[in-house]
Amino acid sequence: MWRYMVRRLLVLIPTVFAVTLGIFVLMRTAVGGDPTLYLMGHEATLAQAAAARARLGLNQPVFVQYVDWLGRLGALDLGRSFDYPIDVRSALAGRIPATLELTALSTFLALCVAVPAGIFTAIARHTRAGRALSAVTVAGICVPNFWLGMLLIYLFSVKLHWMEHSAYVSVGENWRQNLVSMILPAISLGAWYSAAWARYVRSAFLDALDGDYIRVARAKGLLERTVVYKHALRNAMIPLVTIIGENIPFMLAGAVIVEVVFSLPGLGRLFSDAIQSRDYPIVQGTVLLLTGVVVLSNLTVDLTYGVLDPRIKYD
Amino acid sequence: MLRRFAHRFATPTGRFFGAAVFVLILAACVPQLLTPYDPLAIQGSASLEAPNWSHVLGTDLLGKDVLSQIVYGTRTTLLVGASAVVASLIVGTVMGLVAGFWGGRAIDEALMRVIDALQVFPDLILALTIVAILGPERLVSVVIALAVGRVPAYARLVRGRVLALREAEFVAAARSLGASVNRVLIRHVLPQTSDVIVVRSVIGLAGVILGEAALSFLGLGVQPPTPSWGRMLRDGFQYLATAPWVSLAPGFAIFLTVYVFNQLGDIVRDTLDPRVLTGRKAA
Amino acid sequence: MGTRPRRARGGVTRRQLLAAAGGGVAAAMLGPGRARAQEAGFLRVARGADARSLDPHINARLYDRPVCYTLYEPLLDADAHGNFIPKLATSWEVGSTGLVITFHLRPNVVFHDGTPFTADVVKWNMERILDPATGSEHRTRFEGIVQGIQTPDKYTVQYYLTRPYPPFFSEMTDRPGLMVSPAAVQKYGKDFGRNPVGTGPFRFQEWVLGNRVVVQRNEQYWNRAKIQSTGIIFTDFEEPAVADARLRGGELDLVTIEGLPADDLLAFQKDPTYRVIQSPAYRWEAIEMKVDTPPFDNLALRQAMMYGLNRQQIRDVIYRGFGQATGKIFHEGWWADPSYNGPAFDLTMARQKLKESDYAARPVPLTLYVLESDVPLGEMVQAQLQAVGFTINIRLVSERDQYPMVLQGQIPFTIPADWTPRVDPHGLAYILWDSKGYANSSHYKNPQVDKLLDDAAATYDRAARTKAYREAERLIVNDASYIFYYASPDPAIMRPQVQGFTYGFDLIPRVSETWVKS
Repeated sequence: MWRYMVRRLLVLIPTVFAVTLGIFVLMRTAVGGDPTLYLMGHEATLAQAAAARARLGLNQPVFVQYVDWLGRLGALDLGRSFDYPIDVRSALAGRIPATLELTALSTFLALCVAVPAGIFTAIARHTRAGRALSAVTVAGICVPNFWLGMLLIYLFSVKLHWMEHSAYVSVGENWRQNLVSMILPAISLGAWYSAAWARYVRSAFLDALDGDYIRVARAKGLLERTVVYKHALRNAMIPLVTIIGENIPFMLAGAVIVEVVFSLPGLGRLFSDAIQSRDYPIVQGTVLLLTGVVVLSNLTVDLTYGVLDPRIKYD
Repeated sequence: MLRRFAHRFATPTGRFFGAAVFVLILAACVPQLLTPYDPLAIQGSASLEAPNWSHVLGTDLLGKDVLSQIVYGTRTTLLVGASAVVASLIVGTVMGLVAGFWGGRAIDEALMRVIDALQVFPDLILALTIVAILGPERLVSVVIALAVGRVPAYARLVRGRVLALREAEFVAAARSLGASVNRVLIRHVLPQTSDVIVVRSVIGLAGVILGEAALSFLGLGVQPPTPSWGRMLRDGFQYLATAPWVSLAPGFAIFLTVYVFNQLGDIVRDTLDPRVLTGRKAA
Repeated sequence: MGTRPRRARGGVTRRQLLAAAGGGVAAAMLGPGRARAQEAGFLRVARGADARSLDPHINARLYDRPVCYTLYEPLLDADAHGNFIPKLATSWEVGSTGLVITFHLRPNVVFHDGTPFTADVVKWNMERILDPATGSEHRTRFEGIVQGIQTPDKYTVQYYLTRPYPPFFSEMTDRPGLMVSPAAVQKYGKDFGRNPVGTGPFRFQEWVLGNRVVVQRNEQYWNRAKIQSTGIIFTDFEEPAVADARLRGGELDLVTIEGLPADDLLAFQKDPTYRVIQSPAYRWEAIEMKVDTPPFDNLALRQAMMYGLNRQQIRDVIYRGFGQATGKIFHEGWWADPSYNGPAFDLTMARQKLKESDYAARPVPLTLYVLESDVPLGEMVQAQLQAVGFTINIRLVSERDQYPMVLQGQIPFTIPADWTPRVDPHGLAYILWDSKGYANSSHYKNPQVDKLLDDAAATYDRAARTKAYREAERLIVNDASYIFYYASPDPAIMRPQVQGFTYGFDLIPRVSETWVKS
């Protein structure tokens, strides 16, 4: 199995780099590509902008710039932001905690809702309540997360004043305010997943209830409840781990929107801002980081699949 | 196949969602039938009116009727959505066919690497990058951005089917009878893959609609003056405290439309092949 | 001179600061609207975007400026009405030839890093700006004007100019005049923008990118008695709804610089539990046209637009009645002409001008490029001009692309982003409307205006300058390369406990002496 992993990695790493090369080239040759005049603001003249281009190395051939970037990458130097007086690595590092916390919190909330909801809608699927909740989960995957975020802001901050729309502070500084500032974003991001995973749990649960070993357990005379909770549940839950892993890329994408809506200082908002202002080094660095995260999570998912289900073999 | 559809739509739910799709298409084609107002009509005196009898969903900053803007925006939504789905369908299917059928191992490997590269991106991030590169001024950029992310799904689906069917007996039989590769493809393999493609497309449409709304919300989607629901949310966000209907109403429209297409996708899937295509609904 | 201790005596340590901010907030979570962090004496300010650079000489833009004025000081500043007040210089005089400006510096001032503020430092700062290797965008303001700097003694600086230049004082109150510590620039290099060191009433604490900038009171400040706040927290918000919610929730004391849309503003103005202070200086808005590009090279066509704009409607609908509907450039300052109002809305005249211009012969659609935030404005202008007889299309241009494209001549017809006012009229008028001005993107060329502007910048005679600028204004307005339609102050919304808030003449708030009464 390790050989499989290594082989996958060997293939995926060049893929990630090919991707960054593509973006590198395209961004610099793209429509309205030159960011220098904008970055310098109104006081700059065209001549000054030209000088700035030279200083930033933007007037070299694109391929030369890319090789330069690769070279510095070897020393873990991702370059400097065009926009901010900061190097890319520090900028990214500073933004990771917020996004990490957002995704973790969203996953946690989604699970807290999805597992009980999924089980309930499975067990109570013939009752009105069960069907109603099932309909809610069906609708839940159709809700745009930015709309949900705005609804939550309107309801809780503007109208009810329950949750103050708190400014974000990191967990280390004040965990209470941090939590208050993260709860609405986490709900906005996690809602889709709580609905989707609830539906998965429901169908996996129902599938599991049909399985052979369940029949055996029933034949052995165990209580219905024990049957349900111990065997079916466990079998339905196991693949959920991999599902969470598979959803990480989508969650990162969703984090972009949610961070913009709630003004959180995370990677998503950094990416959105950098894309709009053509801060190439930041865009490069963020893409590299995010695709790296996706690759790693995909590999981890494959790994857990292999571990959890010994029937899967790797050639 | 069509007979199965007809049967399916005889049920109340089937009829309901069928009607919903019809209304959406109607709104896209002849919006003037559904609303008396011109969505571009500026009425300075009616600025930011709350929903009332003359403006059911209120007005925005320039006094333009919100409901009319939503109705006229349906065309953009469906057009962009359908274009992106069709584009990704065509490209993905061709890729899948080439990888699974025509190409040798080498081409298959190469194409799969390209697919891998695409899938390594979170979807919205890929779309944002592409729109930023191509420039959002042209609608085509938005369509391309949304389509690229969905190509891998089609490619893998088709390739998987083709690989499975390639070894099937009837294919070998047809070829031994002298049928050309293309003929075999079109007459035997394609019909067997079309059902998965159709289901994926309907559900994919729901996803693309959400994607376009997200891009527009971030400012890198459909540009004015073309109406767009996502952009209405973006423009209306600053008035959330004082005039929430400007942003919340179009959001509800997005939700409803996505819901309709997701349900439609369910119906289509259940009709075509209830056994196949389990797994998570993508959106 | 002995070294000063680094830690501020009696000031808060970082840990105390964070605990205070956190503790205050946590306490207030128990009840909305309760004062937070007030116990620690912090002022919490929000403005429309995050800081970009805290190096005032390089890339410091609108949202950085309020922060810069707490960290740094200029030799002299301008108050809300344009009068100069001494800061790091106690007095100044212009030599008899008008070519030498002497500043007498305040003695015994130190930077936050303990290095002394002397005449050599002032010289170093100007040289830094003039040095092309620094890459300061303010170089154009002094290049060709400052030919040398002398430091006859430790606290006297003399600027030698190539010609008499009264706008010099105004330029020195802006970013290039803010004094930075040479030692710190040498130490931090390119990262100085993140590690600012000045002489200001506040010293830099931290800048969490995308979140906030925190500054804490400088106990060694030479005017420490006037500084009441223990510290200031500058946050930003991408969406006005967020700022609105936070202000109402008691998490903010003050919202300023393009803070909120007009609707929210009006709501706050009517609400007695909040105070809205407007800057005395105005920021004008205009439509810009490139006068060497057909069909905009036709004066009658431009004037048709000028008369065809219903400025009152724009003000009432787009700006909800806030600000002024106006067709002229100068609204405040000694050079503004209170008796002149610019062109009025006159549809008949507009149509007549349009006929004169022969536009109807070839009614080519004109594309108006607007920023996304200006789309409603653009649509209203489009409707108004179409009533005159024009065919107008609206196209979006991103903020990042607009100024470069305008400067490079790719967009001939647009509503450009605003400029902040300068304390001296030369600052904007020259660069925009003198044919030699570097920001003259409309390619406007009027030899009469050139002469008026050049003469006005060469004499220290206030009366003569006033006359020249007023004449120039009428010419520029009537030539309609810029069509002015609106002017507004910058509003600051604050809780009533906030005291001591003022704007500078440049529309930038001076919050150093602002504090919150508990």
